[in-house]
Amino acid sequence: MLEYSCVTTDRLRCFSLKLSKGARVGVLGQRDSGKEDVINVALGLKKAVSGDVFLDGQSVLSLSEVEMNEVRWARISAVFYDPYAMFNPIYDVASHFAEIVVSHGLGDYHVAVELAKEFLRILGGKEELLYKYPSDLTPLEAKKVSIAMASFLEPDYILLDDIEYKLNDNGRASILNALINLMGTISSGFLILDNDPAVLSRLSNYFLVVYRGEVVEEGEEVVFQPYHPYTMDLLSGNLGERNLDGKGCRYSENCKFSSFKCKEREPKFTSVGKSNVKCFMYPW
Amino acid sequence: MIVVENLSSKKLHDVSMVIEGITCVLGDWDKDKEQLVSALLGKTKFEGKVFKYPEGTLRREQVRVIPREMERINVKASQFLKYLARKYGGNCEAIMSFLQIEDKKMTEMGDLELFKVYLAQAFMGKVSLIISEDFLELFEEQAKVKAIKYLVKTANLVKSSLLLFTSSAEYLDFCNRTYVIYGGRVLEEGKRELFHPYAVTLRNSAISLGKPMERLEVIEIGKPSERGCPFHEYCYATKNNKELFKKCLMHMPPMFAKDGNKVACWLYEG
Repeated sequence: MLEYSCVTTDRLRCFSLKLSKGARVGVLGQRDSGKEDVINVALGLKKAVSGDVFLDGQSVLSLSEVEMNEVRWARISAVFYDPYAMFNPIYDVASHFAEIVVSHGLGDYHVAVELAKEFLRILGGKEELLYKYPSDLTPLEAKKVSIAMASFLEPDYILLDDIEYKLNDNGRASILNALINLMGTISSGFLILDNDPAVLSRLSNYFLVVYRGEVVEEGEEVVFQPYHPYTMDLLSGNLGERNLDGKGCRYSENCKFSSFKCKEREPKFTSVGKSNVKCFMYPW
Repeated sequence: MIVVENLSSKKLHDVSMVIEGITCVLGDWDKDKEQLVSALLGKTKFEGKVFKYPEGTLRREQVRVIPREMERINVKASQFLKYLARKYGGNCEAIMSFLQIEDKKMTEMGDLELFKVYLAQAFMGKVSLIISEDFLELFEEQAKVKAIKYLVKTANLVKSSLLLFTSSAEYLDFCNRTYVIYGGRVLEEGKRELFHPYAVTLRNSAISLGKPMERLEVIEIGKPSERGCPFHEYCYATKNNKELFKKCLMHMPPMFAKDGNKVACWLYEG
């Protein structure tokens, strides 16, 4: 179990989630939602102000750098928004896979290349990609290679940030299909962060909605049956141009249902249908 | 109205277009589209003609470009716009107020705020053509439609033509006329409903809400083919039809009429 316990950073406010192996959870949030800190904190790339992340009960944030290196790739891995950020430009793609395998003491270059080929095949990528340099990869190829790198050791948990980096609709559809293939092949738990509800609806079966660092709604049917005004506005394309920080409810400055109470007090989660919603409109 | 007549360069093959009102180019953002923009700006050597009808010459200073990759310069919006205003003329304060641009550093702006700063140049001086490169791929979902609406309104307000490049068929409802360009060739000229298999594949690639693990039935489009129809390697119509595949591989189809559109595809022959 990968458990976030009220993780707070400069961009994220008390983020809590339990992700079990084999689960597929989607986090819906815009680029200013701070959702990428969910990845950064779990991989020890950013310090949390408070809260903790537990991997099978063990605090990840208290691990030493050496221990953390054993967790990265092998137990928790990630695909970043910009896949090129995951590569060293002076090494070819195969060397990146080899480095991960060798540094974890799991084999040599040949083992890495064979595993990489298998995972690239699952993702619809050609073997030749392994012998290219990162700068020679198209954005679609770079995304496929980065997903293969994050998954070829079959880690317990894979965290994916927005799939659409520099991709057109056809590229995004290809990545979506590739991920569905991958999910059907390995038993890892997936945490998918995206700003497109349509992408999440096909990749996840539980959803969290994050507005300006705060989870405002979560549940199994959130993208089909939204209750929080922010989720409703986001799904219907009626968001304002600027996301303002409300004092009480985070969304109160933009919300068309906002009242004095919303601007003064912070709502707690309440159960509505199959969802948990932070909004004073509920219960009815 | 801007007329492009038989434009050919390294990456473009005999491209003819009429740019009037909101004209869209549907297709992957690639070297061919970059060369088309370059040719319209007079930066690339090409064969053929580009002219403004009826006046004659399309002057560079009458064209504004919204770039695909909008640079986030470490200056305030007002400083950037003052620089542009010196070049083109115009009142920065009035434009910023009209577009509701907050005077903060461009490095701190969201996608839509930054877009409005680049759009502001369309209100400076006399503008005949606004070229919008395909920036939509780099924008988050929530900002895309808003940005297009701003573009369309601006083009109407300043009485300029707009050439909108997009790889997504989702936004074609805004266009008066659409050209489908792939591998440097015009594959179709039409309005909203498009028939070329390349355009149909792009349309089918749009991701809609679906069930968990529900796939999209689309073929992954790669680099265009140098021979025959540039799309023949990925075309669903040639998949189980060897004769058609051979024909598409050997010969680039001419334009055929299909429901008011012109389509370069052997499927619509006769």
